[in-house]
Amino acid sequence: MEKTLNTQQGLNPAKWVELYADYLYKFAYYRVNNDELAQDLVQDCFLSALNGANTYMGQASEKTWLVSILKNKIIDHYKKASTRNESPLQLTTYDAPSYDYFFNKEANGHWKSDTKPKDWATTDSNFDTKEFYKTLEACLGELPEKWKGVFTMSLLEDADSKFVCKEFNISSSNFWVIIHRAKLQVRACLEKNWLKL
Amino acid sequence: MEELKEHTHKWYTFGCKDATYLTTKSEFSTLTFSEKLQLNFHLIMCKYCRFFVAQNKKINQLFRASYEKSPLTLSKNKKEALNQLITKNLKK
Repeated sequence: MEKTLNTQQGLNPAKWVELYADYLYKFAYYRVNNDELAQDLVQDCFLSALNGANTYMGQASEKTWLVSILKNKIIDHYKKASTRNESPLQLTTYDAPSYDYFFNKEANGHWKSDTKPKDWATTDSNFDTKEFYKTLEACLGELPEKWKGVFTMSLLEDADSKFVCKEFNISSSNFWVIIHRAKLQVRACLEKNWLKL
Repeated sequence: MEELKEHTHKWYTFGCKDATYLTTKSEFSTLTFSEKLQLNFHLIMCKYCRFFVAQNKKINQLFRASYEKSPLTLSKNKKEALNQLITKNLKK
């Protein structure tokens, strides 16, 4: 009964896994940086889609509709992470290196001698390798959970910064500070762990 | 507990912290004329921040490329389990 209803609406759940599972899994994986969690999110997405099949109006394609459900699941995950530890703006000291770790307070905020960026252009390291991407993934993994979503979702095309600010309930100036801190951390991590300088 | 504060900077103490902040800000927002001026002036003098600018761009580009190119797929087992789950829920 339900099945015919779905087909009438243009939904074909029997084909979802075959058609969209890989796409949705990769979509989630890159935004949460965690294999198990990404799999759970895809599963939740399909279940929510089945439960909410009668809300599908056929305006968006089946794929777009599933992606929007998944995106909400991802945001929910980060919201939960935020309430456990309050907002993405509050950090415990062990969460992430502070500005003082990178910059010298006294000297107008110049780089500290051991955190100065090195010249990557002189390195022999090839960036387009599996090993590099593994290191990048590991470095993203070291970001505070609350920043990870802000970082990944604003970098991947699908989300502009306004969307990210709204969903994470932060102002744009807070958003820039988070991105700044995250970039400082990821850059330093890559330089330390991967580049053969 | 550390509370993130908004970033503020003054022209007479403009340093690497400010320059790297404006670099990341410029990815998502247009800088004001005076911000642009301060950033560019700083970059002329500071090679470390020039490295940062280039590397920041590179990180964005590599992260996006890795997403585009990633051959990541769900395992067969997981797919089967998902299919079973969907069938079960359809019959309800």
